[in-house]
Amino acid sequence: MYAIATDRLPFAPMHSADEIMSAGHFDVVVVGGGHAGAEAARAALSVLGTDARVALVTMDPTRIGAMSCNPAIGGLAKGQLVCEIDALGGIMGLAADATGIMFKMLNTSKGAAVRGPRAQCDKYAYAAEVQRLLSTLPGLHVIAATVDGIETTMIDGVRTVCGAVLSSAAHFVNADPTAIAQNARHASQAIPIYRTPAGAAPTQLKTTQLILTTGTFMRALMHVGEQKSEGGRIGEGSAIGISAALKSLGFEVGRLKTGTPPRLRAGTIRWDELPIQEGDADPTPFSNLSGTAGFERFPTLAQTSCRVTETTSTIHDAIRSNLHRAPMYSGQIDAECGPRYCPSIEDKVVRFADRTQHHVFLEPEGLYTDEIYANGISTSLPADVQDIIVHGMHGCENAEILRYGYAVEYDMVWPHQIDATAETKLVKGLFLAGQINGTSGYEEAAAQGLVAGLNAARSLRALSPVRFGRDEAYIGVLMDDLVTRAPREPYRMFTSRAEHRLLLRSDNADARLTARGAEIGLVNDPRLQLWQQRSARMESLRASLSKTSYQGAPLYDFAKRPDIEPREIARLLDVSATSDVALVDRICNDIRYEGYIKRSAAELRRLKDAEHAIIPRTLDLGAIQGMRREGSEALTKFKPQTLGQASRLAGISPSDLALIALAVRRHVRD
Amino acid sequence: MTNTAASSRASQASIVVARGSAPGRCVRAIVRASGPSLAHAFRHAFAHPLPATRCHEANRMMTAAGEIPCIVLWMPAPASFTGEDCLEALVPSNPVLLDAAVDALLASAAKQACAARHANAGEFAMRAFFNGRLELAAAEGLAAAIAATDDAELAAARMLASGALALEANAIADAAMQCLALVEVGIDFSDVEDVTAITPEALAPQLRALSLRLESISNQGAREDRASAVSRVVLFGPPNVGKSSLFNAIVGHERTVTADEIGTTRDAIVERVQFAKDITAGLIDVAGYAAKVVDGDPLAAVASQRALDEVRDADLVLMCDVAHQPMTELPQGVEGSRVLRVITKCDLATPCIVDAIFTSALASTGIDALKAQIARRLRRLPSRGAALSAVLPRQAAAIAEARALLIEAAVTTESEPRRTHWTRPEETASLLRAAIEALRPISGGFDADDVLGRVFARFCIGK
Repeated sequence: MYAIATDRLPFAPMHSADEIMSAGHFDVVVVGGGHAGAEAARAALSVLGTDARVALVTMDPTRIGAMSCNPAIGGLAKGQLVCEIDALGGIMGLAADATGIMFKMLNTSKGAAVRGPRAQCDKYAYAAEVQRLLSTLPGLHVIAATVDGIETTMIDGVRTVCGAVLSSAAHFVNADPTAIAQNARHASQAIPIYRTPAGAAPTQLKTTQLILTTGTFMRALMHVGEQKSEGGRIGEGSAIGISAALKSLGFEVGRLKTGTPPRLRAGTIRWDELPIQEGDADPTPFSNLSGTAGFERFPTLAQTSCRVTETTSTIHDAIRSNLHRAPMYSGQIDAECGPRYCPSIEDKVVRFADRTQHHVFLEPEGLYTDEIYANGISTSLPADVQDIIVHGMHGCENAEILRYGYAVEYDMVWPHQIDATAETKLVKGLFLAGQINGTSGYEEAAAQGLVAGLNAARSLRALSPVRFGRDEAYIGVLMDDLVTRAPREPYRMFTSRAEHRLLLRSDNADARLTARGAEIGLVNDPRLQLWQQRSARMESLRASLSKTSYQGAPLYDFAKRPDIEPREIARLLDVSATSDVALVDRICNDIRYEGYIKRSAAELRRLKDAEHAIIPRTLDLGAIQGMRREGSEALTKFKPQTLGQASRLAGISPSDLALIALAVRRHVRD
Repeated sequence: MTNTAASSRASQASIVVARGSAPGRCVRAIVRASGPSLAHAFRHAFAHPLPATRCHEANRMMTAAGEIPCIVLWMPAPASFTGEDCLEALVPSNPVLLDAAVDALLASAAKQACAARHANAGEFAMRAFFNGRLELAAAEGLAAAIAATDDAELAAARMLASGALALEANAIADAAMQCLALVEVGIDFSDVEDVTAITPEALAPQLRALSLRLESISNQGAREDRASAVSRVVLFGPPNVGKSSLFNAIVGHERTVTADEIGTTRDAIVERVQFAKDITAGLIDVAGYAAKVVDGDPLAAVASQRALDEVRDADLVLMCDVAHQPMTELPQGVEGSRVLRVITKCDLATPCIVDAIFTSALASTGIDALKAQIARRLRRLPSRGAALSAVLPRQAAAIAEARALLIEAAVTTESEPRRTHWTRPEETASLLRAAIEALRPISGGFDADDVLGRVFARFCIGK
């Protein structure tokens, strides 16, 4: 047998490798240690409790929580997602608050519903903080390995997960939660790695709940100009076996492309000559915990700023004359489509030919690194063309390129094959989250990871699955969009995707989700109590708004006026504590959207029953009599799991929906 | 579902109102309503208030078109078809009065602050089922039938889609979508400095103009309803097979000029014909159709094309061929299910085909058999008249709702404190989006991806 090399550790491992393997079984296995994987592991452990065993399998544990592309969390709609993840007890908001080096609330001149918090983070500190937060979770076992296969078995005629096959290079990495938790909050050191001797590693993990968060790593291929190399990130590998395993299980696998810009050395840019972009003087945290007891210090790290430069027509000419060397244009990349909202600089030059310049934001990737992220020139052009692009930008004439930009193409699973619970319809116990479902973005990935971890754990405990409503959270909009529409590009969240946008603010995520989170096992007591205290305080403030008279009318009515600053209301209410001022601000936002909220509430009540009615998996949707072919085809492809999902499929008419509802009724009765 | 759940569902459901039967077919037509507290909701709609117990009595409806005599079947909950309060009013079968009656019920409910709207297809049956008043099998049967009718409605809506009403409604929805995209770009992409959204002062007049356009088409929609609420039977075939003679024989009097010369009939001629006691439809005589038009006769080419257009629009095509000539092939786009084969001039030769109706206008033979067969076929078809009148009240309501929302969006935009900057674009967007969604029955509704697509097509998004 093998032993952990304890001599390299500052503390003893919680379980010996023997113990882990002799038990031979994990409650949940999460594959991938990115933003989806981290939230999935956290959510599963939260539901399962302290005696649970959750494995997180990753190629390189030092890269857990890595920010592969832009070193920023949040933004419009994405910021709301982070606040929701936090309201449900997740990791992302806490990690961003602890490691943010420039916070900015976007859309501050507009209504509260469309404001989005965003933070530039120190990418090294961020990954370390995610690792530290994970290491505080008892029952988490980190395993360094590549998953090569999925083991399934037939149970009652349903294909069900029974394990994962590891590459022979597997070794254990375990962390003692108590020891690491004693480190400073923003420890810059990663989880210590424990290696088992070669050949002594496990080759198989037994589990009934397998969550795949493979990111860009499935059959990953990177492109810099004509050069190709295997791998999902520079210097890292590619997962080959798993995509073949998914295909052989019958999944329809697709291929997408994304890209990243070159990184520049800060000291070689004429930084001070470029226009400055600063963060908010009074930053807003993502997490409800930040600023409260135990999390008093916010922001935690020193704050910095970004700079702006731009491309020129000379640069655009160089790009045009080298287009044939760009993988997306030369046909070297198989993937059909990259994201329209995040185009490469070559895409911008081709599609908007009349433009003679594009802005480029120079963003520091950390406090103690000289890497600069050149936001706006994502590219897969050859290195010599990237040199021309970078050196043609004002202030960057002599900039050193630390890492060239590249495109990466990777396999994904078309998301109509999952339910809004993240579980696949084909294999029970198999969950998919993150880029594997055709999304882009850390926040979208984290949200799906949370949903997958939650439902995997609930399924294990035989609890009902959880699907968040479109009126309840952006997380609900995300999952529902994934399962009811065919994506044509990597999916990114926008506020305009949420028809109940006015309900889904970043400042009311706790009101929407925290109590529910506690019910479903995601939120611990301290967080719930914090919300309950806040909620009670809001009620009393609301009451005093009605009682306090101003200019002959209740202050409540005065607060309705959109031209009155909430701070003014707080002053009139004689409230000065920072936390109370923030709550008055929230109440004012509630009041201002009251009319719209009432209107949609009536509509939502009407739809509620049908929205969440379950379509049993055993019901043969193709056999429903009387449907038009269009409707029948949509049902067969998407296999909707609720009547709400069915109603949003293109090709389903109201009368089709009536037929489905009746078929469900008959099926349940018979 | 438990009874408690059923009754709580019933209590929060809104009132639905619909025409219960198609106009134009019988002396009386039914207007049907179901929902909670109908007696209260319809207080302003009837001359005599609805009593507490079920009844069947003469009453008068107070409508915008004046008082309409009616017979009311009143079934308070739970002893009714739907399990809710249920009302059927038998009114004279006249499209204008039917509309007025439906409007009167909705208006009265609105005055009493009760939620009421036009019923969706099959909604009465679904309510009956969910309130435990209808067996599962019966509900399934009804739903299947309704799905079929819905197809007819869909066909009608598609037909309408080629009409001026739908073209205009679509253009308005499209323009509204474009406005929305311009507002959304300023919300979702404001971190991208390159993007400039439309200003409030530029948007408000556009919204006002769109609401005016909607107002003008709601009147037009009503006219189309009256004109086309009748099935169309088209006489079709090669030139000079005697279609016009047949037309006159069916109509029973001379309406078209007949001659042995090819191409006598140039324009479509329409006559309303009673094919059976219960079936009336428009009979249309068109110019002969030649797959190949003689050179140098542009008029013939146009007439041929017009004939084709009529045929594509027909509920039933009478495909005419002369007894002594081979049968013509069906033109493209005409399915066999809409076709009735007719052999003309049977007095001249013995036909060699069997699956057709044999006629001779000259000898007046086969005409009655043909009329009976047409009636039989029309009865089987979902009547276009019925389908159209089932679609249109809902569409009219959709247009009215969209209009109100556009005006509200304009008001919200005009109340922005600065004319060139937004402070509450999300509120305008929300109203604009609801307006587009309200037009769904006509234009297909709102799709977030469509709005984003417009943004990406126009703006260079992404840092």
